[in-house]
Amino acid sequence: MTRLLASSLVALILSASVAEAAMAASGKAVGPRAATTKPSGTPVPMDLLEMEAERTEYDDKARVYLLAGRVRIRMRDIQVTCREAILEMDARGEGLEVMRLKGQVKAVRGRQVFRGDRITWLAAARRFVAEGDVEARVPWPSAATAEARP
Amino acid sequence: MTGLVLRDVPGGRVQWELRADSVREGSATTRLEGVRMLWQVPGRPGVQAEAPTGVWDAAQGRMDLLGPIRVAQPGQDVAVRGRGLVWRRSSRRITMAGGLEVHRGRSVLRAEALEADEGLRRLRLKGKVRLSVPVAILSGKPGGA
Repeated sequence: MTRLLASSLVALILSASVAEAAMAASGKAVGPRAATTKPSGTPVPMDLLEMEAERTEYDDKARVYLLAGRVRIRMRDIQVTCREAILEMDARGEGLEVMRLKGQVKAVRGRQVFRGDRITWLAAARRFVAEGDVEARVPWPSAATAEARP
Repeated sequence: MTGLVLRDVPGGRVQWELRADSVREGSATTRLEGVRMLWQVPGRPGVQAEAPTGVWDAAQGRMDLLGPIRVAQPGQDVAVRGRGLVWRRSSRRITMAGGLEVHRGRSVLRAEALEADEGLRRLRLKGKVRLSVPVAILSGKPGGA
């Protein structure tokens, strides 16, 4: 039962994120956003990740951000708190590929609340994976796919 | 042409060098204008910092760069901007603060301050960190915009 609820909430967060991506493509404003300009002059819509922790480091060789201690991450209207986070960037160091959240992870999006020991967000697959002691509060279940491991 | 002020060449290899357009010697410090510092990092492109003014304290082995500062690593598509930079020769560490921005490709990182090694291999960021990335990357679509 817990697994089902967790899957539903993760799916809700995920489906909202996908919906916002579609809005961004149509030019509508969603969340904190800015724009930068490519050398060709084409504006590139930008999104914002806000991170705060007792310790934040960027390892250029591994292309990862390491956040530890009272981690707070805000990504659009999703707010996450946890004890440790690892953000794995792409080979150019400019795009987020994987976000690994550990230790009393709590993700909130509106009235949806999700807790777990570990949550991994896979950008390319657009999928959250929850592991450990998963708990969720979901206003309405979704049929979208997600994955939860006990 | 920017003139050479100081250089450290242990074992015949330039470790760091300091250049400036003008130099004014004081009792304890040297004031510089049109400053450029270069750190050579083994196995990586050198890191160079440019600033309108600077103060070199030879006794403490400390360099303060002031004003709009730009730190870049040629060929790495990385640029760091801030209003203050301190480099200590003993620790070989760089600290920067003031409107701090790290540009890496199309992403922009903002923080209150940072501490780094001379090669910018590991950055320790202070305060709230804001990372702007292309929307399509957050959405999981490869190729960014």
